[in-house]
Amino acid sequence: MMFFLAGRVLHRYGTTEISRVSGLLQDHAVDGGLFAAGVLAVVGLPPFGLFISEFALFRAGFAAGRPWLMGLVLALLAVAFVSMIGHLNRMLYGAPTAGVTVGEGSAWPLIRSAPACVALVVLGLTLPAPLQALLTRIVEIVER
Amino acid sequence: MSLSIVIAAFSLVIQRNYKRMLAYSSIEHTGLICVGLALGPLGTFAAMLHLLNHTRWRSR
Repeated sequence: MMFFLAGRVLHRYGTTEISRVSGLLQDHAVDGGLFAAGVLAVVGLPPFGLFISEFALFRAGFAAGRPWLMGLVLALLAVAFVSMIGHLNRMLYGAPTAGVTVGEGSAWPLIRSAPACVALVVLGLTLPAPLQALLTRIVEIVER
Repeated sequence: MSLSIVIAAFSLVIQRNYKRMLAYSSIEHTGLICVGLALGPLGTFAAMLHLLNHTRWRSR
């Protein structure tokens, strides 16, 4: 989902520099909104699946008696969180970039990332029983 | 294993390119999955779930 969106932004702005993309939310509301949602998902905010799995991972770490390792990882995640939110902020807001066509060409091609979006939100809210059985089976095989 | 998280986190701070930003965040999450795999059954479960979530996020 995210590399597809990044490709769309690149196609519009003709650059991959963060500093040369601004006003994304104003010019391209759907792309900008989805991009923002994606970045918020990857830094580990609910209601996305990445939040749940990171939370489970930290719980496992503390349960395994590794508080220092988990503290270090948590601090590094905080660094990544702050820097990514900062970059996102620079891209979403600010004066619209000159010379870029205002408005989306068509938002319809984005429909192909809908399954990924739905899966991310669903996995953030619930863990379907077949998936849980599958993951438990994987753990059994790995830990054998 | 957590070296990839260290490198990725600080590369994200100085990043000026949004596609690379996404790529470095993938490296960071791969490091996180490796840490999970080292934490016993509960960690493996979380790591596999994280792997699934992250691949959904990355690809369409």
